Amino acid sequence: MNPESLNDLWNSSANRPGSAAGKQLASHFLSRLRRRRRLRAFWLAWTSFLLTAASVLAVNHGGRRGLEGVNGQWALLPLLALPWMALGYFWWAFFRQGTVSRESALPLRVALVAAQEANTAQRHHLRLVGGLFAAMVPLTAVAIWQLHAAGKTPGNQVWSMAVVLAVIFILGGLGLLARHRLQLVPEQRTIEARLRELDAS
Amino acid sequence: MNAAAQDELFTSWMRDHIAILHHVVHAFAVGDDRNDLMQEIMIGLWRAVPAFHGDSRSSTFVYRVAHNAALLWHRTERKHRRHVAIAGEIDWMARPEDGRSRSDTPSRLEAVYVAIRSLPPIDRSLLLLSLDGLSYREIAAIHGFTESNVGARLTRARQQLAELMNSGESK
Repeated sequence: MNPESLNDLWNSSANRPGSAAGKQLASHFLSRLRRRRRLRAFWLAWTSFLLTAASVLAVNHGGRRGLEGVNGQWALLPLLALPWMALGYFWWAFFRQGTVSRESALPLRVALVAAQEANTAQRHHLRLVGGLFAAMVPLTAVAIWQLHAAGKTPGNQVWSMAVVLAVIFILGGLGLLARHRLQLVPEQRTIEARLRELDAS
Repeated sequence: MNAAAQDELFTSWMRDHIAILHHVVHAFAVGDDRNDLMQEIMIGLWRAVPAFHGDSRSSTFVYRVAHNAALLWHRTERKHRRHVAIAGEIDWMARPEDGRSRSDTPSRLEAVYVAIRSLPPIDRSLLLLSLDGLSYREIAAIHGFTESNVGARLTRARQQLAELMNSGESK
């Protein structure tokens, strides 16, 4: 195929969608984006409301019993801290999603270096969250034991509480691992391959 | 920039520059993955809109975002399923208009894209920009290369493309 016929072929209508298709695609994309954000905001607001109510009730209950009550139920604090930390993370992720991304509009090498730095930061962040998760496991076990020792939770409730929390920890840990292995590591490899290709010439 | 202005500018770019996205998506992905990549580019473009200050042409900005997104794109199963489901609801790909294209145009075009996809990603990107009619200077400005570097890479890429096309035609 000579350059002229390649040019004609490239500029043919078969290779140029109409502006109506672009407009329709944009409108569909934006409506899905808005719906997704609304649903996520509603879910986060509702969860925050429930958690606030539960925390207020717990603090009120402890407060009514004075210092003695707080001493006896200190284990409630780490147990409450765990969902608050998770919720804080989800709110952070929610607001971060809407932020401006200047990196994608940078020249290639700068964009690749920025993407590499972002990837490294995300992997560090994930390791930090993983470490916090690991630290929470013995802390939660001690908290459950303390509540049981203070007579606040009978034996059968201790077991159900332990099972529920173990499931949460395992699912959370698997989620972190999956994000690392299936998203961040392949992304890192892609960036490194592009940088190598860039330096090759 | 407020959200309404961001959405409006995004929509106008999608309307005016859909061909840029179409070329990039076809040169970097096949089958359902095209919807995945298209979604990824749209997310990148929508998020980058507030970073556009009008100091370059909108097409240059769209070219840069689309090509960077394609060069950094990697298929992940979770995103793929979601993206394919969303973009797959719209038939956005070009169709030859009646009476304006030869009947074998789609298959010849697909052969060109097959050959383009065989090139290394950065050379592929440069070739796409060149096929879209951009000058060496414009291509260099988009990717941050020197003009001589663009020239050297493009010469090599064009040779490879010609060889690939000729070997395809002789089969």
